Amino acid sequence: MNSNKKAARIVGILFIIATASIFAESIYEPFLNSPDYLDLIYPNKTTVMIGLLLESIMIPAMFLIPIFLFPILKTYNKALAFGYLGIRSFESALIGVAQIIKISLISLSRDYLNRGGADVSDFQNTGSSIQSKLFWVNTDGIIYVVIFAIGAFIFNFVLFKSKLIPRWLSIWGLFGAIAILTGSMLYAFTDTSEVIAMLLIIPIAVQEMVFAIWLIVKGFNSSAINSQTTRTDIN
Amino acid sequence: MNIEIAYIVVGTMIFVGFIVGGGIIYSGLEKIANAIKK
Repeated sequence: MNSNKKAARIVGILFIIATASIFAESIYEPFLNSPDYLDLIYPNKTTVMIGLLLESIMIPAMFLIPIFLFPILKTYNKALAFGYLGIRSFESALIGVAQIIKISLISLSRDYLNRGGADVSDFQNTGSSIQSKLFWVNTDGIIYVVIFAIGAFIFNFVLFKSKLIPRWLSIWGLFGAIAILTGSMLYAFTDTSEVIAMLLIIPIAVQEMVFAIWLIVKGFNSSAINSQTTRTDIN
Repeated sequence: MNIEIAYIVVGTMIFVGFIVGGGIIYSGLEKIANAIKK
């Protein structure tokens, strides 16, 4: 198996791992999203931590995707290959920050349950402040979605120009990046319902899974790689 | 074109599988959280 085929398979698997780990939030969200989260998180800290650790798998997965893709993408557009690497690194860092914020809620819940004579409202205000930070940096937060959409757009643009994958798939990715960004902006700054914002996530989420399967089974278009390599050698 | 549709179907099934799996885990743990509150 040549190195490009191998890289394509690894990237496909990493895309599936990164997407699967997002759904690990369903393990801790029943506790973190509850109105009584301060009462619930610490007594269920093991479950919450398992969810957070499983979700954290996406940090190395996201970071490794552009590293494996870099040798292929740089032959088409070095600037965008570096840009994609930088954006994905920032995305991983944001997830890391979000995980640290969520872990701090475990300590807050513990202190709340052992508060003695301390005022309940102090803990509630601190908890609200911590939760509000997640509105920005969590996987459904605005900062994260903007960074993700820019990364997805750059990536699919390079794929579209290079013909490394069929164009219908890269056009779908470009449309998905615009859709998720639009949904997030509408939800954040207008009265648009969360349901519409969630529906606008689906195009890019499904495209990433189709793309992952395509990479695992078929890999990148070898004729596009060969023609680009020949052109680079001539230059 | 049929082969492309096969990829789309498989990719969609994986995504739906994640949604359904996540939903089952969420609703199960939500019941536990509600039981603890009572």
